[in-house]
Amino acid sequence: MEIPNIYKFKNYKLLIIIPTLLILVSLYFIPKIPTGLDLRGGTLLTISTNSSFDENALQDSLTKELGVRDVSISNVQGPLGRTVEIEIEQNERIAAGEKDMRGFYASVETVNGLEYDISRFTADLERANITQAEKDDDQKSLNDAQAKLPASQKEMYSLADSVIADYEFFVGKVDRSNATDTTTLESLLANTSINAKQKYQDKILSVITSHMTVEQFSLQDVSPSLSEFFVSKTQEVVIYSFVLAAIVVVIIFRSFIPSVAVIAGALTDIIIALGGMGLFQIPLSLQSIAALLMLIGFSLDTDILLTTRVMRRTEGTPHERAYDAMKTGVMMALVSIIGFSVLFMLSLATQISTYYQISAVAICGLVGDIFATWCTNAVIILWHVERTTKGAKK
Amino acid sequence: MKYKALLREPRIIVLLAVIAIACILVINFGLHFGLEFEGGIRIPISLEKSVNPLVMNDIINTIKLRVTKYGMSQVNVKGIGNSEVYVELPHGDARQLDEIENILKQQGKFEGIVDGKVAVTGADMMPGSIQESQPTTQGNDVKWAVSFAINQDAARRFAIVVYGKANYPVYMFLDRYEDSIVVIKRSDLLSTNTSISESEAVRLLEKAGMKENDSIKVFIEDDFSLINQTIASLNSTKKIAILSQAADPSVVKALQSMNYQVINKTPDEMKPNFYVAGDEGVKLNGWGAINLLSAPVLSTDITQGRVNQFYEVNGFAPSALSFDKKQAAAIQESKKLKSILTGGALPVRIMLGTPTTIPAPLGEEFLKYSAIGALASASAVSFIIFLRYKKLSIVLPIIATILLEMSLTLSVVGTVLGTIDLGVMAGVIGATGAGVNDQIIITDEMLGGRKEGEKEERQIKASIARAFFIVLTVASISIVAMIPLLFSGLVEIMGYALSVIIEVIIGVTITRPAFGAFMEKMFEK
Repeated sequence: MEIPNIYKFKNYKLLIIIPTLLILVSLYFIPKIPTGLDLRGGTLLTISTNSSFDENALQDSLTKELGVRDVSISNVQGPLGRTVEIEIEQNERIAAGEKDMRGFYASVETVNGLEYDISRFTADLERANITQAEKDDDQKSLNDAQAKLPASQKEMYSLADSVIADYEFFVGKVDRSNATDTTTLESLLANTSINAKQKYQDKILSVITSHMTVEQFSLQDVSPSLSEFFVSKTQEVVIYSFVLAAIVVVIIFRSFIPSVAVIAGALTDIIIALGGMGLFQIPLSLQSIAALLMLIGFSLDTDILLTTRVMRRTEGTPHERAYDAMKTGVMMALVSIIGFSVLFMLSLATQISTYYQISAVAICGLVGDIFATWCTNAVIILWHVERTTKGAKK
Repeated sequence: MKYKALLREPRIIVLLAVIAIACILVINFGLHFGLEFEGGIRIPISLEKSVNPLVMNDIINTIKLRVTKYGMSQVNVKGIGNSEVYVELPHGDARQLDEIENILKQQGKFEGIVDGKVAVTGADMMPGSIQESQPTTQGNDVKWAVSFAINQDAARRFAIVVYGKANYPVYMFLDRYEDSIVVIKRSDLLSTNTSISESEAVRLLEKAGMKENDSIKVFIEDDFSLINQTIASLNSTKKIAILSQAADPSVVKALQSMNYQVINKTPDEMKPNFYVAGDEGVKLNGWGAINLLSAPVLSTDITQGRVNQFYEVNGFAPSALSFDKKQAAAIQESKKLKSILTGGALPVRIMLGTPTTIPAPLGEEFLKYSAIGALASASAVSFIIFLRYKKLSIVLPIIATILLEMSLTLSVVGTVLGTIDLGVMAGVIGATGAGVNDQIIITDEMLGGRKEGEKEERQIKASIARAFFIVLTVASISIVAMIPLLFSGLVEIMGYALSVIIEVIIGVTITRPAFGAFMEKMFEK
């Protein structure tokens, strides 16, 4: 099979319309990318079972009993038996409990600090050799701390009450009247928090087991603070990766247009991959972000092949060399697509979501790469070469 | 083609050497697999507030220490960013999970004992009052200090207990064993470089172990046959026997048959830390066997009956050290003391999250299917390459290179650099695509170069050089793009970055040059 040399067409520059359209379509789909568990928090259960069950009924009882809105269930019959994945959104009460707990701990710190100050200044006032100036200072600081203490204590107790209010849904009434000092109160709340999370998990399982027999399950829970960290960290990683890669490209080519062409190619590629994620509902997660980063490398592979072939080789016309590069480049993309397709099919059969997300994103990106490289990048490079040779002739 | 000539080619020799090294690594260290493949439990822990990397390190080490103290040495503790920690138990089950949760929840029990009486405990401490100060220099010496405050009731009790006890040691225990005996090897007992006699050593240790009515009896393991009657008769009051990990198994068995709960300590912990204190003779500074961690001496002014809530424990770094080492020793000593006084508490409060559980059979299946995935994807790629080049002499080396890169990467990552988890497997499979791409570039350059005809040898060299320019450029960009991920602290996908980087490095430095050498030799003919 021979592909015609598209660069010999008179209006080959119009090729740029294809990736432009793809980018526009992608931009429409990008907002539709679902957020994965890692980045939004929640609980994911992977269950192997042999029994059949009523999906809608399970979903209903989960939302009702757990007090959550969003529960998604996927149910796949694979070679390993039936695998059921249940994703439950972050429980608002648990999340609020965690937040209030942090607030409570901070207020405990304040109260402890004030109590410590009070006894320190009281003790210092009793010092035998104290001067009048020191005495005044101590007295002032002491009064200060004593004045602040009641408000801080009040805040601490009110935060303790909100922690208890958050968790009471799971553990029943909690009586804090016996916790008269901060240490006891602290350990009471810490225990309540662990207890509530345990009860919540037990409840999830008991609802599920009332609908099916669970043979084996694995549970993953991503807390709000953890998901916040994931979101901020991945943003950082993506930006750094892209900037670093761009710097290396500029260093290697030391020429403006080819560098821009190569970087634009990578960017187009990632945008198309993201569009694919929106279209096929592949969640944005730690794994899919890792795959996106890999695409930077992949896409530059063909871009650099093209650029060096066209600009550094001498035989034939630039258009022939570009076509030559395309034959190699399309082959490369095809090989990678085949490799990832096998992984993709395996992931569908086995429900290993890491493989699913990585392979699906890679396939979208690699398909996008074919258009990005051979319709955008090649056009820019050929135009650049034409322009410079024309300039030389003059 | 001359295969013998090929074997003399340096690039091929390097490849063979690396394969040999990888085999040695795998045989010596074995392959380590991550939680996803081995099954186990991961407990996420949120810290109350963000901490800097130094404090994070402290937290990780404290958790590790506390968990291993209870005999769970397999536990991995990893810091995620600056406010999360993962505690991982490979092969863990629900029972162990409870144990770990309890260990993490509770704190150690600090007791300061003076002359057999409890002078101060962890419960007496005012929260947040325990502070280490920066080491200070006095002449050639470096002084460390830790200050703390105790509540008023405790201050009164402390004043009474220490009254008139100037220069007595305060024996500081963290989780002192009640109702226990120690069976120590004679060599451990007299291991420190002091001229102390055996009976004197035993007397000193037993004195340090006194607490109100509870004493810790010390026996010599070497004399076990002579004293086992005595030990057996003690089992009505004593429940725990502490001995060295290196103890004679028959002694351990005998003690267990006497209904003792045996606690093993490392040989280092068994050795009492005696020192010579000038004219006052030999003193004891610590003994890991009974969790006696430090023994500072009471200064005269606090033993005169005055009630005081504020105290400082201080001392000097060993004078034999160099100045820099003294600084470090002082910092270490104050850290240690702070950790004793706080009952080994973590520097910030923690909140335990819901554990993630991965059943071991599921993990094994994951591993099996990952291996199938890697092989299947390699075969599919090979098939396409065969369709393109239709020459076994080109296709076979490409396939061999793919498989070599995969297995070399896995053996390096799985033995010395980390563990093989889902991310690593995905990275290995993904990077294989890039590896094949490089070989296609090299092959096409060679085929393209050959068509030119004239000055064949120079053409071949030039093609290879051009191909390697592309290969190296792409490799450096792939590595650079992965570096932020490698250092991100996102343990879920760090393995991915690691394996991509390693595979690319192995590819460009070892396997692809070898592939290039092979191709060169082939086209020379």
